[in-house]
Amino acid sequence: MSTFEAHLRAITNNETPSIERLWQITKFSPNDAQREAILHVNGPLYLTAGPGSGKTRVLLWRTLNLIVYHHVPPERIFLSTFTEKAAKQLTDGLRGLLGLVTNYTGQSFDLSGMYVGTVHSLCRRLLTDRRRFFADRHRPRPPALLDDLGQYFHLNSAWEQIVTYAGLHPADAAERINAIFDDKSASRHRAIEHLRSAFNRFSEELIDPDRVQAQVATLAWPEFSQSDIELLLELYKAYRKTLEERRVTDFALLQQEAYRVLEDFPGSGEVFQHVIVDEYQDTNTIQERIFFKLASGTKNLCVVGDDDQALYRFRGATVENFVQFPQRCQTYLGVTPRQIALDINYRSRSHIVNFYGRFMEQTDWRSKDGHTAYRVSKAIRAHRADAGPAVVATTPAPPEEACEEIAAFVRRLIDEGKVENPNQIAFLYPSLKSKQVERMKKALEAHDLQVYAPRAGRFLQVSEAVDVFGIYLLIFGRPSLRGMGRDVDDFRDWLNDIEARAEELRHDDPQLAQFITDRRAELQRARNDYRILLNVVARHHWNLDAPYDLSRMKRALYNAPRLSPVGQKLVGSAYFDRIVQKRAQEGHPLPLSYVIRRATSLDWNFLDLFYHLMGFEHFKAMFDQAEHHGDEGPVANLGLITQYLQRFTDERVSIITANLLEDDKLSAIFFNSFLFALFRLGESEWENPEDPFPRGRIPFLTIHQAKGLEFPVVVLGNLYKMDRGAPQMERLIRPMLTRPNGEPLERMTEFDIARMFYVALSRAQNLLILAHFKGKGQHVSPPFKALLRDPALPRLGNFDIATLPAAKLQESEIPKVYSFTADYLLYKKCPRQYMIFRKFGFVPSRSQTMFFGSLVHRTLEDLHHELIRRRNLAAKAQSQGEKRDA
Amino acid sequence: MPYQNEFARKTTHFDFVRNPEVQEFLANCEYLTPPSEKEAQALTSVFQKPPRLPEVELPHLILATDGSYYEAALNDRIPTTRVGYIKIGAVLFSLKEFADLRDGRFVDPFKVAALQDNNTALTFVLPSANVRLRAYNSVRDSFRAALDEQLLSEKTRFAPQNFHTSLRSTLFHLASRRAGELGTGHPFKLKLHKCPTCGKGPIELEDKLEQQFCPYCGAPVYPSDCLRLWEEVSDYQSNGTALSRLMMILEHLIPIHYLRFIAQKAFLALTRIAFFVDGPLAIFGNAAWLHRSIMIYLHEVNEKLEKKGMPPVLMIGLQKRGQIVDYVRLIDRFLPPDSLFAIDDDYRYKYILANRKPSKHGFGFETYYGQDFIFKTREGRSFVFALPYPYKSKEEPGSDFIHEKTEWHRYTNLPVAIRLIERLQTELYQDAVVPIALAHRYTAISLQPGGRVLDLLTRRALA
Repeated sequence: MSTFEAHLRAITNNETPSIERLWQITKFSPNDAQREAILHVNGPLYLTAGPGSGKTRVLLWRTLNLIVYHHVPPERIFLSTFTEKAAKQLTDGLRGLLGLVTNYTGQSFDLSGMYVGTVHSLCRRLLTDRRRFFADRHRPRPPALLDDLGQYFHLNSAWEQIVTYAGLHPADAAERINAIFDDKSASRHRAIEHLRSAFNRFSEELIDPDRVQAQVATLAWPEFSQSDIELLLELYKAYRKTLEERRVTDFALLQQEAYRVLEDFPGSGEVFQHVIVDEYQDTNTIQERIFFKLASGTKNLCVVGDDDQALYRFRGATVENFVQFPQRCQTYLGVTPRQIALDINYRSRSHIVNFYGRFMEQTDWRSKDGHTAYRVSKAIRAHRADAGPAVVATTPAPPEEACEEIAAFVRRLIDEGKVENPNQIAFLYPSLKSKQVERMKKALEAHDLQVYAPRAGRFLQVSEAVDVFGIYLLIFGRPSLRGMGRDVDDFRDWLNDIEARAEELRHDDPQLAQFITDRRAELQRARNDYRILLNVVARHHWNLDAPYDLSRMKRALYNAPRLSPVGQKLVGSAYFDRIVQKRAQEGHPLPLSYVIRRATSLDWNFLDLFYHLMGFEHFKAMFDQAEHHGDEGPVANLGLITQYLQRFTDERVSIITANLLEDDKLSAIFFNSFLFALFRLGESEWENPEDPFPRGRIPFLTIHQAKGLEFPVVVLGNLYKMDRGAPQMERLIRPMLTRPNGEPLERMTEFDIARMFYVALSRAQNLLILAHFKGKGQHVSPPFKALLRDPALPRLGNFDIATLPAAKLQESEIPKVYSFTADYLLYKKCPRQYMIFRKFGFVPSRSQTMFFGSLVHRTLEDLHHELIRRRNLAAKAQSQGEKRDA
Repeated sequence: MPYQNEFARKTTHFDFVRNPEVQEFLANCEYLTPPSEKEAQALTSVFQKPPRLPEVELPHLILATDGSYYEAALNDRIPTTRVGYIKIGAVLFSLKEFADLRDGRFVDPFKVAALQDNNTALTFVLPSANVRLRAYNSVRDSFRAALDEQLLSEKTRFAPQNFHTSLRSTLFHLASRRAGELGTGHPFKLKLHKCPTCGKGPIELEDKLEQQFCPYCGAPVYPSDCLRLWEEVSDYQSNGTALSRLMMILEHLIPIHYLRFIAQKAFLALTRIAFFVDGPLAIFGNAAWLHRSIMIYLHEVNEKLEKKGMPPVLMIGLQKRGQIVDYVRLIDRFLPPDSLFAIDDDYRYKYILANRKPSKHGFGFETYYGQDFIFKTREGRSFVFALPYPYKSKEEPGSDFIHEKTEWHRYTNLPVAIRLIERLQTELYQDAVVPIALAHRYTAISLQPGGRVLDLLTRRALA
């Protein structure tokens, strides 16, 4: 060891600074509860964390404490979050804090083995983690995972098989299924959506269809008939069968599979030393089982959450998992967890904290007999000492007037510097598809204020999607769209719009016009060749499914009258001949139909076409704009288009062949089936996860979207959400459950509405504005009523804006981590490539890569043959010379 | 030059000073003289109580470097044939362990040294007068080749298997930060201003193991040629100047070398270590350009530390001798204990440099990267020390460097430096601090017996 090396070790191998010292460096002063939670190590931990209580920080520091001070290897920590964004934030934050330790000690930490992510991603990882979860370290490859859209398309494509298996006739199956759900429509789309919800819920609740079918006569559904239930269970079984056949699975079944693996693997309860689950109030039954199973050996299960912020019942979440965690801990682990309440709010002014505390007290959270509490008791208090007015309602008035009052006030907030940017004022709504939203937007626009509402519209309606798909429509032709109903009409209108827009683009750019003409000609050429070749087949009475006989058929096809030169080249390819011969030798001869399809295929697909279009000025300008620090939205939306196109090429049509061009089949698959599904599912436009709200615009968000966020000023734009009783899916599932019943069906929605508004109220930091509408047809949800009647509640008309603290723009406390290879080196290689593929997630066109791959392969092969030829020639010449000499 | 075996008489200089010609000459000179009582009053009025903080967190570790060099004759009969040795000591010790040894006010540094064995020295052996490496035509080329090889050698590396961790690689890091056309901006590339053989340039070189050649004449060139020591190497005479310059460069390069790798491996460990360098924070001679690169490098590191809310790197240049030290001895009896002065240009030119004409750009524009302070401790010991300038460059737009450089508040570490010097002062040597004394002990090549051993070693090796 050199002197320097020895010295460096002596200098850097210093003792780890105490955690208190690290807190000091990072300017973190944990309160007593936070400190207790961070330093807790052994045994289950039940962290009830109110809004703005520093939960993420506690999770970060607790994990650091385990790794650094208790030497828990990162790969023995399982940290589950609700979103991938949260997982990334936690990993980046942890990396930053551990980097701080490394900075002191030189000791490095490898987080790559740590299980951190959403439950789904962790289950997926678990299923491939042969080393840790499979005794023999062998298992078949897990099935491919379908996301929500994939699941929809699977149900659509396997429709006939599923409904037939369940004893329905495909023609009226949709109507029959919709009827179960009180839906009079005959739409297959709606039937698929109903089934999707039901199937997911069955899987999440670990419903065994055979068990329920056996008990169905003894179970009681007030509004579903026995035959309805039996039919749904049959459909569920058929659905699962099709998944197995196609080697795919969905999110919910993926969790079931992971749970099964854990059950089968003897040491599964000790693989992880610590299991930490964030947003535990939004977990479902199968997830709860997984977590308890993983912690069954060590009992180190830490759950963090807030039952008041449980929003995802519609996705199967069961808030009781959180509320009853202490009892469940007893049941599954045989111990009582340590309970710590993080109840100091660092986000909001005290008036806001008191207000939402009182809001929750307006609901009676006890059962009728008073024995059961459906809410964890808590006493949230504000850390900020400021006691000035911070919750204010508009003057009770008809919506137009109240909206105007709010808009004028927002204008003042901006003009008087109470916010640095309009994006610090958020308008929150139970739903963005309501009249109140439109009214508010208009009022703001009248005050020259721009609104940003990413989920208010459909992705397909953003201008980039209209431009790209409009040109696709001109190239592939417009398919006829049958059917009736609002969705069909809307889609037809959309097709009209994109066609008109594409005509404009074609008119403005002659090169683009020529490009469209050329592509159309190529399609026409392929179509003609296809017909010509089919004529040859018919003339010779060949069977399309019979093996392609090279010696007998090639010449006839090649010499077909009027076959285009491209077609001739494809039929006459010597390279292809070798493939045909090889396949025949291997006992898998290619059928004639394949040869004809191949000979009439195009050398570009839907994704290639996209990249061809990007070369035209109209689209190129979008990239230039993004690269020069302009609006990145258009490029981001283009990136999303590539992802949809990739899905289409992967799952539907990877190669454009002429048989698909007949009768506008391809156009129908792409527009009427694929895009129409996207259109109906209301996929929304791209949002930047790191900077979600563009500067200069006021964000309009659903309350669900706002979860986990905070804003200096929050306007709750609608205080009403109708209580329609328990969701249908809850009524369907409840009798099938084997677990204890949770909240009573008749009160479930009342609770959910209170929680939803609680989330909205608790997003505000400095000021919370309530839109108090009054007049005909205007309502407020019950918990607001008494609060609005309170004469002490300030009104906007009397509010002294001078009392409001000015909000500063804040940067995220958690730094973004860049990768050396994936970010730095790629950026260094080409900033534009970095922007396109890394930042905006464009999907590269694989056919181009394959083309170049095969080009290289072919070139090498040709070179090889040439070398052999020359060597043979040389050998021949030499032997002739020798003969002559002899 | 005396003849061999002829020694100067010790009384000779009395005659010399009394010589009327010398007296006449001196009457026309300005030089440092002891101040009168009255002058001293004025001189010391600029000293003030040093800044002190109620709580000062001292570094945990101390790293001190000091160097010595020696030229050994090959043979008594051929004293003009010489080999040069340079020894740079790097001493590392823990302040906590040091505190445990405290017995009374002061500590014997050698007790500290006995605590651990983290003290070691790096030795460079270089051809000096009339000695060539085989395959080289001149002493100069031999010196260049040997220097480069030794800067690159495993003994200078933080990771022996990685040559990018050698002392030479740190030279690359600094040289790449040079201003103007000689800067490369790439840590593995540097530029020589010209080829030592043909004089053409500039020439870009890479941090690699293979020999590199001048693109103009094809002669070998070495990255360490950028230090321009070769310009001072003579084939036939003593190369003491080149050796002394190299020693000084190494005394400054080595702390930066440490700093670079500590920053890489455990960045915040920099906040727990103090670097002591012997002498002012300045680099003289042809390699003076290094001082700018060091300023830039320190500024970069300090900026990163500041972003993390940390104080800057604590690097202290402590002067054992030199003009300021002489000056302080002259005025020491007038200085009140516990006083501090940041030497400004006016003062320096007027009193220390005996009315020398001030430089247009300020004192040390081409050489210094740190500010000199005179500090008298509460115990009455005086020190001359320097802290790095808190600037990236002396010509930063909008800053009045010449005046601002003496403002105490700009030196965040000043209270810590003062506290540390007080803690580490030793009564073993006059106005010395323990680390430097230790480093010196480890590197000092005394004439007897160290020098003698080297002489023997040289003879045996060359025999």
